[in-house]
Amino acid sequence: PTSDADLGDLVSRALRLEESSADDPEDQPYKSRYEARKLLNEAISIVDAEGLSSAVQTKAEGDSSSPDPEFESHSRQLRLLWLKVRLASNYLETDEASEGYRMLTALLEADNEGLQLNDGGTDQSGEVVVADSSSANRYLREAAVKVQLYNWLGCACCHLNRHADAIEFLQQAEAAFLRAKRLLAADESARAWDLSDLFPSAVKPANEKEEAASAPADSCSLESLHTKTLFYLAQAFGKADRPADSARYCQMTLNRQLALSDYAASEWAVNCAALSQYYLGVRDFARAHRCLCAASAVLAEAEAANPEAFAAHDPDSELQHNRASISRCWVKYAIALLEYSRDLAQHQLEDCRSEADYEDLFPSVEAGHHADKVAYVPAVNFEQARAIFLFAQRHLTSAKDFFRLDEHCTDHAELVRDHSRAFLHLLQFELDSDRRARMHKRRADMLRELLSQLSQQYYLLLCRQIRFELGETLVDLLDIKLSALESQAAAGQTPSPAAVAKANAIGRDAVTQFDLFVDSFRLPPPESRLPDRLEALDTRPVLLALFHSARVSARLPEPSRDRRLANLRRAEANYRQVSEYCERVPEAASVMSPELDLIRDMLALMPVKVQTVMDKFA
Amino acid sequence: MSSVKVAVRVRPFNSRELHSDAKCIIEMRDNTTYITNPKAGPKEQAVKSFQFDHSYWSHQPGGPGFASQRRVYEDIGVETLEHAFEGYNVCIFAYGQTGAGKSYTMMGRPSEPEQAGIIPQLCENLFCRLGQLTEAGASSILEVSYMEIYCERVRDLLNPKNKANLRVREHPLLGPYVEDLSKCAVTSFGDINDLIDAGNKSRTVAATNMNETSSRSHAVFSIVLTQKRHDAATDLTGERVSKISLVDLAGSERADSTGAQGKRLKEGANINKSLTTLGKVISGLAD
Repeated sequence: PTSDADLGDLVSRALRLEESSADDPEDQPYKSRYEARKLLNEAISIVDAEGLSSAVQTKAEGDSSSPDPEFESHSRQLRLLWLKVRLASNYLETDEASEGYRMLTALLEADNEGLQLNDGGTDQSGEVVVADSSSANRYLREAAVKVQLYNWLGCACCHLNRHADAIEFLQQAEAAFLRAKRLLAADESARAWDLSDLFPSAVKPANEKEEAASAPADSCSLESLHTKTLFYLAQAFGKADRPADSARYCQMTLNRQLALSDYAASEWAVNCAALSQYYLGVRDFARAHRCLCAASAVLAEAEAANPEAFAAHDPDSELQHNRASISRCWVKYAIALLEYSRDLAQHQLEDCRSEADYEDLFPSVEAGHHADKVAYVPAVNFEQARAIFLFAQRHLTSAKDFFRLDEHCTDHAELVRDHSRAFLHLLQFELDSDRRARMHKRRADMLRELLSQLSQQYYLLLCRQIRFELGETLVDLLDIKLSALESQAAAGQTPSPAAVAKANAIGRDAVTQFDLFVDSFRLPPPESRLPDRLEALDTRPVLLALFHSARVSARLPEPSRDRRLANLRRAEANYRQVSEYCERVPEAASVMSPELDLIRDMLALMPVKVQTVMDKFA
Repeated sequence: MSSVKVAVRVRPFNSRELHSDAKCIIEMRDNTTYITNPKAGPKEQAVKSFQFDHSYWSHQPGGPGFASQRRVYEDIGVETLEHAFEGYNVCIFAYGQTGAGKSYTMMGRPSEPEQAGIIPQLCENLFCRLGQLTEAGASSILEVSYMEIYCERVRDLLNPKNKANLRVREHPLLGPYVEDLSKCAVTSFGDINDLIDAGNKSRTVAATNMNETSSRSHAVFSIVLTQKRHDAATDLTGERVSKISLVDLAGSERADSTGAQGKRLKEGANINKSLTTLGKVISGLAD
């Protein structure tokens, strides 16, 4: 009948208008949506009219001329429902959220003749009691519209900041879908309805010459609606401050993309790798590992499909960028695992998770090839730690090859810092002090090289961070050298002048680095001093740098008396500067509280130290 | 001396607002801006106050306390120029909804001298001072760039025929820069004015071609000032380089490049419908 074609045309035009709303002019941002609204209202009145006329017909004739009056009536109700849901969503998209929400809840509560909207009837095991295939088919016709309704209720509630309600509605959408899937599994010939069933003429163009592109993009298939449900739940959980649930639903969304073959390989891989970073945050190394393995496996797919894209270095290549990003995620993983291993070892604890906890988050991805390249359990000795470190180093090299210093300066710098950090965690497992010293030296060298390559003007924050870390590294190295000298002295041996000179050189370098760090905070000339008040976040680093500089100065085994006295004077000046600043600025005192006692002691001991030096060189 | 200053400016009603009998809920006294919430409940505080470095009352032209283009420049532009001559890099940017008056404040209507915005006034003053410098024996070079950022693509407004998307690179010594961005040497205020005009026209033309309006893109006008001074005693020439960046940001209310961000104010509440934002949702988890 002609009204079907009209109806289909209205629906098709309404959907296309909504799809094109992004192109609306600046001062009429909802122009297309308002037009779509008119069309939807028209369609609703057509369907309403059909309903009235057929009801009148049935009453008058007693029996209807149509073959299946119940089917017709149900289909009409579904069309009406779909249109009304669509209309409500239109209101949501034009910033009339309360109205949209009101319409949606009205649909939920209304007495839709025989339409099982409030899913009733579950038996003790929670399974829907479905009497026969005709009920099952009825359910499958409704499923998509139902899920659509619940999805939009979820969106509306989020918009109104009612996250708990949103989650409930979206979970109902999820349940409705799962029920439909069970019914489909039970009956091979069964099928769930989508847009083309509700409005056949909307999807198949009346005129064959029309391009396929004129059909609406969203076919309202049950499967695609469910993917949305999962994605919306991921967001709703995030907004409701339930990150673990949000992560789980992100993972399910990723799985859906795989299942429906609806993904761009390298983009999927990067998203999956990004998810691992959340799991690292909660120290769930098993899940992080699984995410990264899946990411690497899917990335390998992208590489195999596109070998030319990876042939030559191209800083603008998205594929190469994605591969390097995934490597970086692996590096972060390895460093986090080493750090955790170190924490456990230091506190002599054991990791309580077992092999059984390794859940396969992405069963459809063949990732075995990547899984055994690195562990997901903490290291307990140097060999294991070293294996993790070497794995990290391979990915560091690969990532640095893309993130080159003169193209991706900041990224490159971050990778060098990660490399230094990896060494730092590894050497906690090394018992031999010479080898530890060598590792500290490696760190110092790479940090120093990086610092020499960066402009302090353009990368001030980065330079400051690197310099501070360099200072700390040199202090660690100095500690090793000094304790070697002290053991020698204790054993009655005279330390070699070369060893002493070496220790002094390292110490002076450390002092220089900390002094340069503090200098970077000075006011510009002619004042050239530290500001009276440092920014809150800068306070502890600056005061700590002064503190470290002082401590190192005071410990240097300089062979000349004058040098030692000068060092002690410098140390005293620094300690006083910190102490006075903390008196003047109370907040500083609280951030420096662990060190302040030590500073007080040092200042009190200073005269004794000076005397000791005088005596020693007398 | 604080390195960041914030100024706020309120414009006169436009015709649509006058037509709908809009009420002004903004008041300004000294540097404080007061906003009245007409829908405040009986227990709520109806008037809220906000402190800024400058609050410019430009709502009633000719009225008391009216802040003119000239006054805005004198407060903000003069100090900016001073710092630039001292060798500092400076930046001014205008932020606000479409139609709020950002372009008016930054560019103004150069054809009407009293309505010239910060950029033309700054350029004019710049040349005056350079003239003085030259008389004192120093020399200078001025280079100007004008680029537009839309959908994370960078376009050179001074070379619009180059439709290519310019790449942003990070050089370890030169810092971040836009590769192949034209730098035009200018020697007079007329030169700069011509370039500004040409650049502005490119924006409009581009908008028509790409079916977008200029209020969705950011425009960055940069002036690199190199001052050279020769010291007779040492026979050395010292150089001082500073960069002045003048930015007209896109309307803050509009969707950004991904198209999925929705209204900025409600960004937190809205659910993104597009799966292309899955990456963002995942990144948000790890924060």
